[in-house]
Amino acid sequence: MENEIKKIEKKKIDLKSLFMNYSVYLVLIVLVVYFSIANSDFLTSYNIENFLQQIPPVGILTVAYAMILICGYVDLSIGYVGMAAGMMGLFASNMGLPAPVVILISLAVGATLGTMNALLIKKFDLPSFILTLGTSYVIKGMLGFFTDEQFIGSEQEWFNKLAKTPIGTEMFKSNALIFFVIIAIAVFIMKKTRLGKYTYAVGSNQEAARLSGINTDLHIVKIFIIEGMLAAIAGLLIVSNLNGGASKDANGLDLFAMAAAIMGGTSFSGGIGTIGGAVAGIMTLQVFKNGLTLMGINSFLQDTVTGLVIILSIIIDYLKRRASRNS
Amino acid sequence: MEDEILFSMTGIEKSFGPVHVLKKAQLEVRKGEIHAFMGENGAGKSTLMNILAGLLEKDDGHIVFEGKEIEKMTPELATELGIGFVHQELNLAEDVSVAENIFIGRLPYTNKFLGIVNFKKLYEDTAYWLNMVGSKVNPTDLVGELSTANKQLIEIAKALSLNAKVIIFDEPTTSLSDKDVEVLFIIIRRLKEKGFSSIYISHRMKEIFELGERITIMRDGEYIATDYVKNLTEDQIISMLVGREIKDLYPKQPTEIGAPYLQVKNLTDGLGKVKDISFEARRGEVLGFAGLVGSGRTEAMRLLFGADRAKSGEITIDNRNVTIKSPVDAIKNGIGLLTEDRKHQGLLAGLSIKDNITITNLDEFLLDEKHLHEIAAKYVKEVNIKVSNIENPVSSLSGGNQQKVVLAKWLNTDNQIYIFDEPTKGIDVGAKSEIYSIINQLALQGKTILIVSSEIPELLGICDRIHVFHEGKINGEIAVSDYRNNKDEAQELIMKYATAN
Amino acid sequence: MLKKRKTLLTGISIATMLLLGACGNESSTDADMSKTLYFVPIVDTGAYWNPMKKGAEDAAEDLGYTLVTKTSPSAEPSKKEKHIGFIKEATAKDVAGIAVAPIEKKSFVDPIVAAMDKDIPVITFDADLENEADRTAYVGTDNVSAGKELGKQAAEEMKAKGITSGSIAVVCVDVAQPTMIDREEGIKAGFEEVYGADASNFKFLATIQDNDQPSESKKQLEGYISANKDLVTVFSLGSEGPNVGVMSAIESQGKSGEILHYGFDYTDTWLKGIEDGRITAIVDQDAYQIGYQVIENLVKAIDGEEIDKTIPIDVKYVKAADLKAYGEEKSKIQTGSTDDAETKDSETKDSE
Repeated sequence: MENEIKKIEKKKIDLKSLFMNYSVYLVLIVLVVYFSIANSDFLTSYNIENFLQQIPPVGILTVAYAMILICGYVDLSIGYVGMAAGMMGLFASNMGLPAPVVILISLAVGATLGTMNALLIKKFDLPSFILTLGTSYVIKGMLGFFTDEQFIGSEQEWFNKLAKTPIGTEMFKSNALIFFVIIAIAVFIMKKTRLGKYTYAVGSNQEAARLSGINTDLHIVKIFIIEGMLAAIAGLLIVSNLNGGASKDANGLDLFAMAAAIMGGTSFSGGIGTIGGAVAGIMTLQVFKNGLTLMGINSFLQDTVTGLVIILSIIIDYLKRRASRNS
Repeated sequence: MEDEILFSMTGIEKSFGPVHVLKKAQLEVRKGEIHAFMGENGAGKSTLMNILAGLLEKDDGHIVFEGKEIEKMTPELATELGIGFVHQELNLAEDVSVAENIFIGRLPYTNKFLGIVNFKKLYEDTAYWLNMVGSKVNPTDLVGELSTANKQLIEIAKALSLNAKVIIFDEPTTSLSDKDVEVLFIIIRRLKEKGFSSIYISHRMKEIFELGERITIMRDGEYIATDYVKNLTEDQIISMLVGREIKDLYPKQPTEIGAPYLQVKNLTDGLGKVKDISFEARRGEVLGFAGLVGSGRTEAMRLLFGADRAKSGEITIDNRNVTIKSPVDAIKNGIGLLTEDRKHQGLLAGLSIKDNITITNLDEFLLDEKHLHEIAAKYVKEVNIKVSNIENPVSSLSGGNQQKVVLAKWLNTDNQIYIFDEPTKGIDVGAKSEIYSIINQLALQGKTILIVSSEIPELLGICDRIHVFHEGKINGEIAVSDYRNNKDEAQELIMKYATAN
Repeated sequence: MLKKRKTLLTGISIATMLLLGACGNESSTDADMSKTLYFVPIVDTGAYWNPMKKGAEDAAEDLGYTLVTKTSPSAEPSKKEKHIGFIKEATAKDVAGIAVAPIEKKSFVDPIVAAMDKDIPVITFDADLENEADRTAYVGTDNVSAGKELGKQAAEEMKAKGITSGSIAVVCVDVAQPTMIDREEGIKAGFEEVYGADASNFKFLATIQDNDQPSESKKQLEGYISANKDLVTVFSLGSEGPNVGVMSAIESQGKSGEILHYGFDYTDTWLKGIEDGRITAIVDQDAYQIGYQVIENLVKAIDGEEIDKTIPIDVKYVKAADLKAYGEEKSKIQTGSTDDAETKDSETKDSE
């Protein structure tokens, strides 16, 4: 009898903690169900195609942002790093360089800018918020200067196909595939490798991590390099998708990525959060915007409601953490 | 007056989910008494005090304050009744003045509507209370710039200014120097004379015997006993705390001391805290470092570990010259450091117990979680941490257990040299002897142990030799075996080296 | 265990969406779609886009079609991708016709051509694609010739005033937008046509862009006025941000009536600058007409009628003194057309 009571007690606790831990996923499922019922256009093949076409760049940025946040940092320049890398790739492609070289150049630009951010943060010991705010302006300015902020068209067919090749069905294109592969890799790194574990350690308490024998400076550079390369991929996908790019095309995406990551459980203080949660966060946001647009809600109202969703998720996250602290 | 009861807590029950933390706990404090309150980490005394202060709700039981039964205690009600709390981790706003801290939330206004503060009255009132506790700071001083001892006095002043009838002191002397402790005692005694009661929570026997009038002991969430301190011996108290007899607090088995292993020559930090330190340690040896707070011991150990950069000096391990510029280098050379501040410098708060223990020794790239789980479980057992699931966050453990996690983390390395900085600070009596035997085990295995401690009896109990620091230099050395039967003389000698030139 | 549960949940979420979509149900019956038109402007607010939408809505109503307007706010992230998505949505739904204002020439080609391939006529407006063959028709102001008109008129007036040299500023919302590029090109062409060789005595300063923030254009132009004492003329290419910003800057620098200001498109904002001469003259696009004509021609194409590949809507050159009366006429015309359900012909709109 006692055992049974214990089992029931355990189940009750599990349900509650299940809700607490996975609230983002639940919100996502609820939204999907709601929109499916409320609007007949939601689950159509063309809407899903649009959704999967539009989410990969901001989704990849979200994954990258989640890693940076877990490590205890932010990178406000991530959008421009991505566009810089993407447009470098565009130039290289237009010059006629072969595909592997173009991609390598793009990744290299992302990695370099990421390294630059990391070194500056460590060297000047400035909060990453301020520093990357600065570097974002620098990169934006340089990029704008060299391109006159004009749209630069792509002249290579293969480049345009990078993001838009259908895989099996029209709904699912190469950029969505790349996005899902990146999610899988990121989850693997964060959960199953030493690199991931160190990231949580550094984010949780950088000094304690250092005194435990982790080369924290080197680790931070590594994470920023990975983040820069992911941003580069996002940038390439944006440019490939539009058959060209302008320096400001990533505007606004980085803030969404950050909000999504935080909705999904990461925190500015570092050391907590998961890639899965962050992805659920960005999917929730995108589903939400997609649904609202379909329902014809005025776009300014859309902004208001989107903002409310973000605020609500952060409140839930705060309550969650407070509850776990008191127990 | 002396025998009048101020408050009593009886039959207190409290559970957190399935964990039953308090079982028929009780405590009775009289007016104007200094009541010592002891219990191992996890015994439930913090929980009971939190219930008294209204921070937690009791599940069952009675609280009677000055003859009136209190149905539901809240922090506001507790303050109103006169229950003051001086926490172990001080609750002050660093960037604000002393006066504003003491009167936070109840500043005197000349015009409340416009929010114009009556600073004259504020500072006058503050000065009154500061005087009451014998503090010499100015009401306008910024709290962040004060010493820990002074901060504590301010907390006491604040509690008094709230008309506290009883003040709960939670481990107040952990960060205080001996002189500050004496001052604290004078104040507590003065409070007694004025009719205030004090509840004194501490692990330090010496203090309990010096200061306490009556003592209540808890163990495993249960009330064990209350008696006059003068009726009890130290051993009796210890066995009530631990539930068993502790034969020997310092289980030192003789170890074989081998060849010289670590040699430090002319270690200097260039900042004036560590000035030209040289010493030698052998395999299987436990080398102690005594000295006053601030004499440079912690700084020297940090240099040795690479936590801070040394300006000059030579370190030789096993007859090889090594360069240590970071903890990564230190660990590569087999040195580990258990820092003094284990909570903030040793723990990764958001991570699980298992992760904290295994972080020092992770596989190269791909993690084998099952293997790591086994290793962590092994060390959890070795340091005797009572926990149901090591995947739980480390923040769910009590303070003492958290300390053990940090210890376990360092045991989980192939290090040859272990540096312990205040290894038993904040750890209760029962766990202390566990740690001593672990240290002893390591020495038996031929490791080299360096221990920094402010408790001379502890050093005399477990070390082979003791170096004494004085203002950044090593001023003297004693071999413990020479003073086996003359511990007092040894202690005096150490104090002499620590203070004289 | 918990990890597996999490991956399972994510997997289910994604799979659910894909699975249900694969059973791709088209949402509406064919009958509805054959009378539905998609209208995708860059934005639908403001003195330029709002009347345009109204014109389109009126035309659709007059001709018996349902107009679905899809757009997004100015500073929307991934705006291009969103609007491309709208075109694809219309194509998938097999609507009767699509009217779209391309945000960028090159990226909008593919989705428009895809629609055309499905025999859905697509008419571009406000800005055009590079290749005529990629769309059914273009309705709009020929921004180059509109700019040319403004440039010429401005040059004539300046010449008449005896101005032979100086600096000229150009202000717009977004330098990368095709409409802005064309207008600037036209202005300079018209200017040079009038001044001939003397045009080289004038210096066109770097174009100011303000992302529709008047405080930005104001700030930058004030800087120009201080730095260039010989600044004689400012061209505002639209829209509201530059209009307000330029007039504000001229006022704050005390140059009202001194520096000539030529603008694009009528808005009530100009009325404030008439008295102290902060606005000299404008060319006005007939936004309402553009909207109306787009839908009118789209329906013609649907019915299989022949229409021109490019359907320009004329601009009017209006001097400051005439602005007020012109504005009143304009608003009358718009309210007039809603009351008068019979009026379909664009010609009758000039008189009332």
